[in-house]
Amino acid sequence: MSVARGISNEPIWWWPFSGGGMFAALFVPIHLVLFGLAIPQGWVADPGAAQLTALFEFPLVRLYLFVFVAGCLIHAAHRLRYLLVELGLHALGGVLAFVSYGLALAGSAWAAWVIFTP
Amino acid sequence: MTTRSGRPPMLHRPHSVLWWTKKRNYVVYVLRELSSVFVGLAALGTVLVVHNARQGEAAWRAFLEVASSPIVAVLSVVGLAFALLHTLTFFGAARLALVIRVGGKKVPGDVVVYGHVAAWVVGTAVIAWGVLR
Repeated sequence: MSVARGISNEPIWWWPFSGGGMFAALFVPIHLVLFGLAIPQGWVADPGAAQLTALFEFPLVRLYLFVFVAGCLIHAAHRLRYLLVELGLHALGGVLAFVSYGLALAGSAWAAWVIFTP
Repeated sequence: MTTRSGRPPMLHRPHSVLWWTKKRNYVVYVLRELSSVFVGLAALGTVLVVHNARQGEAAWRAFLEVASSPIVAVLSVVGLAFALLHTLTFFGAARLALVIRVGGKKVPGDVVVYGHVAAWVVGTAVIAWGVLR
């Protein structure tokens, strides 16, 4: 009996998955506190569109925002793909991978367009 | 035995869809994995913040109007709870996953976790300062 080794796309996703997980761990809480609660609820002064736009113009901030968004999306896609398989959707493994990574890549493309458009 | 793709076949014993409710550890595992839903939503929310701020003051005000609604507030609180679960479990996993050697000696797991917590505090402070200054 010979056991052939299959080619896996796992390593391609592993780096953005773990890096995205780190970005999410470090920065999602403060993003949610600021833009989900503190600013909308008026707990802190609203910086306003002009000040935020000026901040979002910095090249390093743009790079940070894109890496944060793309990393979080790929991390979430990778984790949800396997969670849904674990919860019983074994038969849809290939479809789940296609849909989850596809959505993460589409979201990243949208983020790139929003963040990097001059 | 191999399948046509060359991988060994995956065999699954039939089990209940609610298998994860049987043990506390399993529930924590599923909640931890579910936190990624809120990680994804927070990422998309960040893009909406950038998009609306760059559209000008009127669009930004309209965005804040929606963001201040009770539904978004509840979603943000629940999302924050899951985000903190992700942060804590991710730092806990780093204790085991990251093997750092300094001068031939392995850095203790606790030090690795403290390093992550320090990075978290500094990162949080930098972003809060950058946005609110």
